[in-house]
Amino acid sequence: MMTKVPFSSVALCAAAGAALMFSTSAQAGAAASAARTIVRPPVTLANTRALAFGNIVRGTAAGTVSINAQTGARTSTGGVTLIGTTGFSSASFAATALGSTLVRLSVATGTITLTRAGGGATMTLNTLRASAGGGAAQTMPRNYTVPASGTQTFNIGGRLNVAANQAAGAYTGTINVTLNYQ
Amino acid sequence: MFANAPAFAGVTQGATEVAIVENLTLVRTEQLDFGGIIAGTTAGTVVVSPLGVRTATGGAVLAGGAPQAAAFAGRGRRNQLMTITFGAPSITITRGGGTQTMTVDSFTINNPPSATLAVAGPRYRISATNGFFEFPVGATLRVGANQTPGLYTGTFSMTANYQ
Repeated sequence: MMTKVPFSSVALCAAAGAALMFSTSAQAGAAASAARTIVRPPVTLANTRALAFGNIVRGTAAGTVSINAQTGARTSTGGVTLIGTTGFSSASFAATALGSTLVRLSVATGTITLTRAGGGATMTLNTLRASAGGGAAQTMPRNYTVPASGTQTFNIGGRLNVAANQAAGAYTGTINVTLNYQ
Repeated sequence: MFANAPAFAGVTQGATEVAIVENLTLVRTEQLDFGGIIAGTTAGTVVVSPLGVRTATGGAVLAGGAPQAAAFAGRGRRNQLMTITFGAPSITITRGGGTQTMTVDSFTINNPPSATLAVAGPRYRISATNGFFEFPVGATLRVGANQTPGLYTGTFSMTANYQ
């Protein structure tokens, strides 16, 4: 859209004629500019799957549990022991936007607190990563080009930090994810 | 009287465009771009000021893109008087591949238009020693309720009358 627009000889003549009212020696120059805008459909982002760390056994030493955003695999470090082979998943979001445009995926905060049902204890979730359409796990905020189809799936993983002797129970929290046009 | 003066190359844009500003002409150096918007269920407006500041009212929501004011440049001689006129008070921009339209109006030059153009009654006076001037132009976009998504383009023209 940055093409240089040549002068319009028609406009030049018309303008020169008008200028004669002021001075017989007047000259006029005319130029044209494009005016443009892109009307975009609203972005939609729907959470279709929760980020779940499954069942774990706390240890006498601190540890972590991580869910890989790209693969959904679960891993642990430190005093944490993983239980079972199901019940964990990356979070998944279904997005729609104008195809082939740039959007920005971001999370409201990089550290999220999970609270024990019934109270009494918390854990933190951090190191959030996103995978767009099965691609590599990447930090946020990040810009992505929406596929021409106008739909895209984002999976989000992260790392849960488990304290030594973490109180037993079910812990929940909320991740706020935002998708905007760039 | 300036026919033999050398051309004044004063404006570059991006990496690929150079505007050659000859005496007593006008060239467009920046395109008017309202950027990306989302139409609402009610009508709205998007304004790009001559300084490139974008605002929205009504149902229109700003949604990224690279909004910018248009800009035009010319060259006369210092203290020369001139008028600047718009080709039309409003224009229509049309969706690529479609028939949907929007109106762009309220074209606005900054007042004063720039550091090198001074208001002289209804006219402007060129104040730069080298006679070069450039001025930005903003406008208002009228966005309809549920305006069909797509890329809309149109053209408007400006004329500088050197006196």
